[in-house]
Amino acid sequence: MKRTLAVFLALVLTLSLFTAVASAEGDTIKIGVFEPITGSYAGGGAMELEGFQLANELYPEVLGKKIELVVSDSKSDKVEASMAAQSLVDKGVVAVLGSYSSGLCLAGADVFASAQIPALAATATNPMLTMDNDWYARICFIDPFQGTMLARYAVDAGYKNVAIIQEIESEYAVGLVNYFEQELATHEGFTVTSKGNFVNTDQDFTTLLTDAMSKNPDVIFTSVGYAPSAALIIKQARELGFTGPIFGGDTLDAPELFQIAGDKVDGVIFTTFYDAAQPATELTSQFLDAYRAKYGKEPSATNVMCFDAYLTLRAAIETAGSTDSAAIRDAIFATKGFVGAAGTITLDENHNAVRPVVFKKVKGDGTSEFVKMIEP
Amino acid sequence: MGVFLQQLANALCVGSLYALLAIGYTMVYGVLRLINFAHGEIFMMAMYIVFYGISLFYLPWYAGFLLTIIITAMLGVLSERLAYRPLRDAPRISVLISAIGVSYFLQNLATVVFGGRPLTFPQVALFTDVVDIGGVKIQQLGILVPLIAAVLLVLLMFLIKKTRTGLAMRAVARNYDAARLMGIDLNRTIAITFFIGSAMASVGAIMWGLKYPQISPTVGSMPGIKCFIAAVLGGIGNTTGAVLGGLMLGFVEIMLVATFPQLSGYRDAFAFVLLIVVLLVKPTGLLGEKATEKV
Repeated sequence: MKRTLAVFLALVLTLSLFTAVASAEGDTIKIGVFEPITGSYAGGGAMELEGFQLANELYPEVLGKKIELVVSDSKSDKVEASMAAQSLVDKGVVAVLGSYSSGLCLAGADVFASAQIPALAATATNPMLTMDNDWYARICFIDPFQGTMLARYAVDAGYKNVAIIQEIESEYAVGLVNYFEQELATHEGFTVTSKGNFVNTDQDFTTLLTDAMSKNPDVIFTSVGYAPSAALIIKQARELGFTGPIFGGDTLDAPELFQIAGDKVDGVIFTTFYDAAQPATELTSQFLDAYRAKYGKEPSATNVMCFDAYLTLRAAIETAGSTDSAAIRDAIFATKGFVGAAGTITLDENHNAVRPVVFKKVKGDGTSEFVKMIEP
Repeated sequence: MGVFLQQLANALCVGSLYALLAIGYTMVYGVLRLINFAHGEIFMMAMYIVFYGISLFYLPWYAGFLLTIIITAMLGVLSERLAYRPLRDAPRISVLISAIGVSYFLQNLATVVFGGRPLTFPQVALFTDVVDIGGVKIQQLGILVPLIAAVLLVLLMFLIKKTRTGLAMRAVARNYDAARLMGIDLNRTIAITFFIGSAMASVGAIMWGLKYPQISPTVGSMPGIKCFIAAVLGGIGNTTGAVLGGLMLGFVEIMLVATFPQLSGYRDAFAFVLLIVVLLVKPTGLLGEKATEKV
């Protein structure tokens, strides 16, 4: 009895090794979706996936074949991310969309480059991604621009003393702070009073905040990899009695900000890619109607950027006229004046998009309103 | 001075949370010589049960909390029955591996059933309102958590030292086989140990959720490891030691980050360094007894 059980279990375990089934060749074009579906950034990955899936539903075909989205979970971990990237390559995808979080993109970037598969990021803003990589492109702006704009905003508002709280293991968060500080240093009289570090599993920021507040900053700048960290910082800062303004970068544009911090988000400012108040394109209303119909809620900037990323990739495949990876890559890099739902996309010589940054302000009920838009 | 008091209040709160969790670890170790790595996941499940109890069934918070404590305690007993009891007579390492298995199982079960996206723990005004005491702003739970932890500890001490069940638990911890020979119902005693340990963990989870409202399937892994460190620090097997260890760990963590803010990214590393130091200098922990091997 025990022996049969042992043999049976051994068989089951061996069979489970063969679950990586070779995919059927045929009339589908496979596009990889490289996102964190589980782990600390799961919410960000989910937002991106929503955008891709919606676009796939509305525009399911290219070159006469169906587009199949193959999702690979990076589990919000850099080691898992490179394995997830490899699994996409093994599944024979012609191109990749994603990821949320520049750090995770970077983890997969080398894999895609060696396999010579083009990858398109929708919201990853760290410049390192496209610097030495001939296969990654993005349809959003990069952090030197975002960080500089944030610094100029602080200068214009007269915030002389800035306390910074950054997520130390996020390349994006640290990079953004870097560019912010570089710009701030060029203005007389503006200083960074303290810089607190945390990791994305941290939930207790009271020690950091107490220390930051003891130096009497005019404003707190939170640079986080994912909104819940910022929400906790905002919540705990207000509970500790900090009444000054708080601002952050594009990762604050997520529903979790209000869900976790509640009405304490009132007055928080962040930069982002898109706002409904911006001049809309013909696709914007199509996207908004489809999104609201499918998900029953208002879309965030990440959703619409991913929608556009999918469309940009699809247009590139169409231009390339084939599923040859190099041809698709060249077509992506040559994107000029492509009209998406969030605006017009033109890639520069570094395969980054040249786009305006939008400043938004959150209200106590969780909705955010447009403040201003700055062109590069 | 105000800043120092603020950090101190915070340290006391965090320390009490660690203490509540460490008790469960230490009790199970005392009785079964098993380091229950799944304890952090019991903690995580408690948070999800509260979340769904309150958001899905619209229970008032006190009913939701009470129900969660009972359900979580039963979950702990169930895990013992399914994963540890069949391995009673197996070498200790098998039970350890089984505990790790339960831990991964529960984490992935939670990911599949509840989804990977973080959820927000329900906020209860009684605990989350902020009071101002002499310039120090703390949430009311900063006072309530140490209080609740202290009350629970006193009750637990009473249970262990003055009741027959406690006597049975101490006997099983002292000498497993002799306890069986003396007619103590091993299954019942171990089940009660897991019940109490998991109930403590769920109280800790509720307090934790009120303080740090973000729930995700992996929310229990770091607190679980830290409370294991707390239990070892205080002498694993010793309940008072676990509380002491928890408080110490909380204080060290918060005060070190408060004194050296530039090292705040290494916050979790402090706990592990502390563990290594304790194991090198005094492996039996602060209140642990020297384990004498009878030849």
